[in-house]
Amino acid sequence: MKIITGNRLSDGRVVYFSAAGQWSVDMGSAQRLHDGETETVLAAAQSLVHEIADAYLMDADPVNPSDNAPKDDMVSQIKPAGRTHIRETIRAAGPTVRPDLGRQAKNP
Amino acid sequence: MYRYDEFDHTFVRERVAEFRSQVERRLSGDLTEDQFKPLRLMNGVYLQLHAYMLRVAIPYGTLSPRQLHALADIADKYDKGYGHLTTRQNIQFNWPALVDIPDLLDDLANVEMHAIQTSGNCIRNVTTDQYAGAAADEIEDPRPWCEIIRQWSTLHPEFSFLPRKFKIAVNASESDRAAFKFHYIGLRLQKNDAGKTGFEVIVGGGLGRTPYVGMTIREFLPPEHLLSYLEAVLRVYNERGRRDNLYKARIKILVNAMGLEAFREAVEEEWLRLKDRAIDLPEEERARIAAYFSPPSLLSKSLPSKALSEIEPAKEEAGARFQQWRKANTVAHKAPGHRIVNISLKPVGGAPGDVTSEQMRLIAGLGEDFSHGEVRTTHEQNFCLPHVHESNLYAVYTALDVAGLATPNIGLASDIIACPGLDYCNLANTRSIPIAQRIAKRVAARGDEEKIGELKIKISGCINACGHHHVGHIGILGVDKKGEEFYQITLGGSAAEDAAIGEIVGRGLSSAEVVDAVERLIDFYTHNKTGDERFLDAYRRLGADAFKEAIYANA
Amino acid sequence: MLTLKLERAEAKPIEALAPAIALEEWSPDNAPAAHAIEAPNDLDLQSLDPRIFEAPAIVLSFPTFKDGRAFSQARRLREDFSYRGELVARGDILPDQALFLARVGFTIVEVKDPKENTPALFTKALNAFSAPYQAASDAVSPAARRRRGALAA
Repeated sequence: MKIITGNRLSDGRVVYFSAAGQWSVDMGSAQRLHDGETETVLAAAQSLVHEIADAYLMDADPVNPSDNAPKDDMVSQIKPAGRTHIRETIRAAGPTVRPDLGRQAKNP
Repeated sequence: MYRYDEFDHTFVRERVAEFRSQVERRLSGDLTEDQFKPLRLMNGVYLQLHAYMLRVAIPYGTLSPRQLHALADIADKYDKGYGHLTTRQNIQFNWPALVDIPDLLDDLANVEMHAIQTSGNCIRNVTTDQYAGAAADEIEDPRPWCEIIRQWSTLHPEFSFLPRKFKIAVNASESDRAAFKFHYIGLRLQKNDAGKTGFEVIVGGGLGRTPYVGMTIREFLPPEHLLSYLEAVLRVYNERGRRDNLYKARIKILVNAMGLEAFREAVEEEWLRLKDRAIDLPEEERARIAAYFSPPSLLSKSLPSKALSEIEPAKEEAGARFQQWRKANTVAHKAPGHRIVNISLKPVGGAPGDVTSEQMRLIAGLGEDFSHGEVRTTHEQNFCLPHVHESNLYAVYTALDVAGLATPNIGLASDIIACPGLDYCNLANTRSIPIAQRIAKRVAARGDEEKIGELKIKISGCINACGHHHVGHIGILGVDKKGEEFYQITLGGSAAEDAAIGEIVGRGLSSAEVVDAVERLIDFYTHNKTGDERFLDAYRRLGADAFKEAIYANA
Repeated sequence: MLTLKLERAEAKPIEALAPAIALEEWSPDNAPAAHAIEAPNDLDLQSLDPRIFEAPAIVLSFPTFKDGRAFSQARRLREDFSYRGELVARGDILPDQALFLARVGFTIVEVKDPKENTPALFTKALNAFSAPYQAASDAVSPAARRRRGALAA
C-alpha cells in the first residue's frame, strides 16, 4: 500500500494527501493507494502546486486495530513501511532527539 | 570586527527585498519549485524533513554580542527557541515558515547579518581559524582577507551558477584549525624567505563521496593578487568542471582528472590575463577593511573578578572542576595574562552544536563583559570567547557552568562533530545525533576522558560527509541497509596540519554495535599507547589491522 | 518567444534577431560581419579564428538555467577578445538572472515563456541592487571605487 506525502509550501509542514483530495497533517487520513492508481492520484496531488512544495509516494501499512492503538489517534491507523520507514516515521513524529517537538509532542 | 557601511547596509536590504518578491512569486505559483529552489538555496533556505531550514551566515565565525542577541531573538520569534552551529561556522534554524523568512532576514539585516550564499552552487561562507587575532602562532589576522573574499564573492555575476558548491578557507597559523586542506581552495598565510607575507594556495581538497587532501597549486601568491587568482581558479572550474554528474562536479574531480600540473598551467595562464584588470582591491580599500580588525587594547577592559586563591576551601571541589575546565577548554592567548575560552556545545547526552536562545544570550553577555565584544563560532560546532583575561576566567566558568556550557571536553572524545542526520535532514540515510549522544554517555561513564586525551570522533548520516567523518580519528558514516541504520567506521583521519583521510575498516555495524566498537577502540588504545601518544599517533604506529581486530573482537 | 535588449536599468522588447548560423557553418570566406554566430557553451574560445569576432552578434547558450558556463564565455569575449557586438543569451533563463547576465556583458536575452517571465520581471531584476561588490565586464563601479569616491568627497 502507498500513500502520498509532501511538505506544505507556506511553512514546510509534513502533510498527506487525503481521500477527500486535500492535504492534511494526519497520516491516518491519507488516501490508501494500490497498484494501478498511484500515478494518477500522484499527478492530481502534484497539481496542487500552490499548497505544497513537493509530493511523492511512500510505502505504508494499515495498522491492525488490535495493535492496541487508541481509537482516536489518526496517526496510528497507518504506519510507514518499506525502505524509508525510519525516515517517514521521523517525518511524521518529529526528531527522535527532541520528543518535545513535532507531532509526537502532542502524544506524550 | 567588520562594520557595515552605507553600501553594505543597502546591499543586504536590497537582497532581502529581492527574496521577498521571489517568495511572493513562489506562493502565487508564478515560480515552480524547480525554479524557486536554486533561488531559495542561495538565500540559505532548505526544505528538510519537518520544515524549512534557514542557514544564517556567520562570516568567518566572528560575531558581536549584539548579533548573537539577535540570533537568540530570532530563535524565539521564528523558531523553537534554539539553533544549531554547523561545520562551516554558520548557524541554522530548523523550523521557520517560508512566509516568515523575509521578515526574519530583515531582522538579521538590522544587525549586519544575512543568509546569502550559505547554500547553492556558488561560493559559500568563507571559514577560518576561530582563534584568529588571538592565536600565539599566527602570522597575521586572516579575517581581513576573509572579509575581502566575502565581499568579492557576494552575488558574483560569473560564479553564481557553478557546477557545484564552492568552499574556501583561510588559515594563518602553523596549526590548522580551519581544515583548509579539505577545502576546494585552501589559503595559508605565510612568510617567504624574504620575510614577505603571502598565500600558499591549495586546490582540490574536499570531503563528500570522494575525499581528497588538497594539493599546492602555488607556493607563494602576493596577497594583493588574491582576488584575481581566485577568479582564475574559479573560471577554469566553471568552464571545465563536469556538469553531467552531480557526484563528479566538484573541483577536486576536475583537478584529479586534469592532473595538478595541467590544472596549474591553466590557472596560471588565466591569471596572467586577469591580474592587471582591476579585479584586485586597491591598497586603500584593503587597509580600510583591515582597520576593522585591529586588535583590542586588551588591558583596558579586564574587570575584577574573584582570583583563584580566593575560592573558599569549602568549594575545593568546585576549584578542581574549574581547573579541569581551564585545562581542557582554554588555550594560550598571544597576549600575556589572557586565555582563549572555548565554550563546549557538547554536553554529555546533548545534540552536538545545538544552543538554546537563553544560552545564546548568556554567551553574548560574556562576550560583551569579558571578551572585548567578540564571540566566535568554530567548525567543530562550539563557541569561543577569544580574549578573556585570566582574572575573569573563574567568573566566565561559573556563568557557563550554570548554563550547562562548561563541559570540559574540547578536543576530547565527547567533543563530537555530528551532522543533523535523519532527525532533521532530507538527504540523510541514518541518524547521527543519537550515536553521538550514546558515545558521549559511554565515555562519561568510563570517567577517563581526560586520560584518553585528544580523540576526534566525527559522525555523518550520509555520504555527503557534513559530519566530516573522513577526517575523524574515529569516523562514523551512517549507511542505509534495506531500510535499517548501519554504521561504517573509518580510522586515522585528521583535519589538522597532519591532514589525512581515514581508512574504512570492516563491515558496517548496527546502531547497537557501533558504540561498543568505539569503546573497544578506546580500550585497545589505552592498553597499547606509549607515554603521551595520542590515539591518532598510536593508530599510525600500530596500523589499521591491529585496531580493526579490536573492533570486531567478540562482535 | 520574446527578445529583450538589456539596458542598464531596463529590459526592452525588440524585434527578433535574424537566425544565427552555427559555428561549424562559419568560414572566413562567408562574410564574417554578416552573420550572428551561435556557439555551444563548452566551446574553447581560444581556439577560434579571430575573424569570428567580427560577427555582429554571438549567441551563447544556457541548456538549463543552472548551467553557468556561458557567464564565463561572455566575460572572456568582452575582456579577453574585446568583443563589441551583441551578446545574446539563449535557452533556459530566469528573469532573476538578468543582472548577472548584464554584468558579464550580455546585451540581449531571448525569453522562451514571456507570459510568465515578463519584461517587467527582467527590468526589476536589473534594478534589484544599487551597486555591486565586485568588478565585472560592465561599466558599473564596484564597492571599492564607490567607497574611494565617498572618502574623497
